[in-house]
Amino acid sequence: MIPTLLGITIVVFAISRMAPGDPVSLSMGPGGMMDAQRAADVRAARMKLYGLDKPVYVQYAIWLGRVARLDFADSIKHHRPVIDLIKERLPVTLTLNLISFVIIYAISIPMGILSAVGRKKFLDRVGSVMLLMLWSLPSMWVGQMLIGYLCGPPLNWFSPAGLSSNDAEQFPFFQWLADRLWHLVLPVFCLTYAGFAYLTKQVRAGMLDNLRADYVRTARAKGLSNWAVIFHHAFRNSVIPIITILATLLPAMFGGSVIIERIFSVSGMGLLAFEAVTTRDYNVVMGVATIAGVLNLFGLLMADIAYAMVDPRISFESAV
Amino acid sequence: MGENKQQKTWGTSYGEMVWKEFAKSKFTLCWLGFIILLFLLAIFAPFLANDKPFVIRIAGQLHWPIFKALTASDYSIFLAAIVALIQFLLVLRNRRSVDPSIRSGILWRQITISVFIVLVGIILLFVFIPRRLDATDYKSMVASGKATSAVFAPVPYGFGRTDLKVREQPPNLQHWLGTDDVGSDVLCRLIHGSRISLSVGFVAVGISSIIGIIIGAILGYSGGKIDFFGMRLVEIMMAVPVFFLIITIVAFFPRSLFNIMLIIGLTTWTDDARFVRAEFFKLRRQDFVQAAVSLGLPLRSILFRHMLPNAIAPVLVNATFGIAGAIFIEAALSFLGFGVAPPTPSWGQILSLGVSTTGRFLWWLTLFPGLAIFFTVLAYNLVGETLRDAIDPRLRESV
Repeated sequence: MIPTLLGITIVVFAISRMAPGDPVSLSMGPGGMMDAQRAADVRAARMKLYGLDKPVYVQYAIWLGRVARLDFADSIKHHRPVIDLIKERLPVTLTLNLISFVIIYAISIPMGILSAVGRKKFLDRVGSVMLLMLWSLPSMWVGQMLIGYLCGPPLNWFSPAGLSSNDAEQFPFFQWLADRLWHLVLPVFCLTYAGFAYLTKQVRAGMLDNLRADYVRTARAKGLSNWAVIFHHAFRNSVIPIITILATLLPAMFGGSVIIERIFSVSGMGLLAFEAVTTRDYNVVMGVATIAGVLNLFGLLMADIAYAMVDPRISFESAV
Repeated sequence: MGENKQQKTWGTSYGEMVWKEFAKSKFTLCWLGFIILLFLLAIFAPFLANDKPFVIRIAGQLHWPIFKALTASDYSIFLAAIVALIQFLLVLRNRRSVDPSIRSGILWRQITISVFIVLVGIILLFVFIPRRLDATDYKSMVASGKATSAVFAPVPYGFGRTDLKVREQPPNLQHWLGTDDVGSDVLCRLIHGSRISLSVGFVAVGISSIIGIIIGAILGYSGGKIDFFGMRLVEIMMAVPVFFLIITIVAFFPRSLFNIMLIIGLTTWTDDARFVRAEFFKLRRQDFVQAAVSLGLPLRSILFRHMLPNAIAPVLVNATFGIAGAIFIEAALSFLGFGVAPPTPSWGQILSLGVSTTGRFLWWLTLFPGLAIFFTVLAYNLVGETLRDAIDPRLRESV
């Protein structure tokens, strides 16, 4: 766990510092306002202020030391602690993704079971092609089309940007909640539709493996109802791969929310990351990378624990 | 499936079995055809959409501006296409005239030679073909009567042409799919953009497959400590939010097509490595591998000559999905503004113009590039899906 996290931060740190260009020259612009000597002085002073004048490994050691105390330094662009920025933005992204996850699982599991039970029948065939089509739809395209047609003048159903109306602060709670949910509809839709295909396929494959197994035949032979065979026998054994997918979906989700948050101007982690890389805000980039890495590892850990809870054959004691 | 006496005596090869299974789905075959069509479109892009005429008569003399204006990259694409076609025909020929036991060895040699020819050819082409800039406005020559007759490409616009008089026009008779914010023809840019998408898909997946195969092969074959630490490395790569990493790298380094290909390739090899490792784990205890080891063959030969052909199927399937994924990532990067530098057209970049700077929604700049990405990605996904089913022996046996 810890080495993995260190690895991620080293990779991102190395990339950001090795690349040509730095935030100081970016913020100072091409020059011309000052004479060369003054510009060089200001530059040196600013580099020193941000600690960019030291060798890369020293910078990394300093950064790591601060992170150990949960201090991600200040944003070079916003002049605020990175941790504050992340505290503001993280709940937004988490809300978006958690809602999406719930919806994906709620729809995919029944779909997967249905198509596995009716294998090679109409629903399975049409359903799988439909899901593949959904999977292949670029989210930026769908997002832009939705904004263009549903938020534009003739319909005006949704608002194209942000997560709440301008005067949402004054709303009573339930109106505020309704307003927030209404704003969440389009981004959540864009985040979910692609996930159906992947998860449904996994559920279907797992179900098919189990439906073919001998114990299912035994269960049928002893006269159990179709319902009991499918849900109590086959499905419970197909749950394990579904859980592991949670861990692999998480990193993908974070990437997806960069695009979605940019299209819908939702100020979450994705947008923060996007702004940080375009302005070379090193500290924010590192902060976002660390938090994203922690979240991913947390997902993996949760998956492992859930794994052991669902499947009694797996235990952590026996693992070497 | 040509009927042939020799082929009967040799039996059906694995590839033929998979192909037979694959060809059962006519629906997917149509999409395979679509991919081929897309490739033709990309290869012949300069002949389909170009502001220079094929042939023009100026003062009684015939000129061939379109052929003169072809760049080194155009010629490289033609060369690669020709070599790929020859390679494909060779594969078909091998099937009929080469004994199965040496077929894979010959195939490897042929592929090596082909790749060598293409690489050397591309380098030579870039060295020897000078950059030409033909800024002559042939259309105005025709209009003013200087040139008497001319044959233009079906879409008579260059992809880098800017014409602010016709900016942001919806589809009309002159511009079938409209124009973008600087007055370039959208159809022309879509046609030329297919080159970016397809080449990114292929090269990125090529890089990631090679890395994945090598790492997976070494880990799976050696096992033990190397495997343990190697897998931790793979896990680190898997826990990295790939898209964020790609954005970081692309934003920090200079924008170029090659960078994008390389970065997508370098960050997406983990699945391949895991598949190959799992296969090699199973294979390394088998007799033919033990035999190869006891014969004293070099490790390279054991890994890639003897074991790899038995483990390549999941990599192939993954590559098909990988191409779809790479096209997707490239489009997303271009959409976010990290793609290839502006005059070069790319589908994602056109898509990003769909909302103008004044906030107006320009449907033709959203719909058409989006459809292009969608159909391409869908085609690859469908082909990959069918290929996976065709390769999976469990599905072949049952029903």
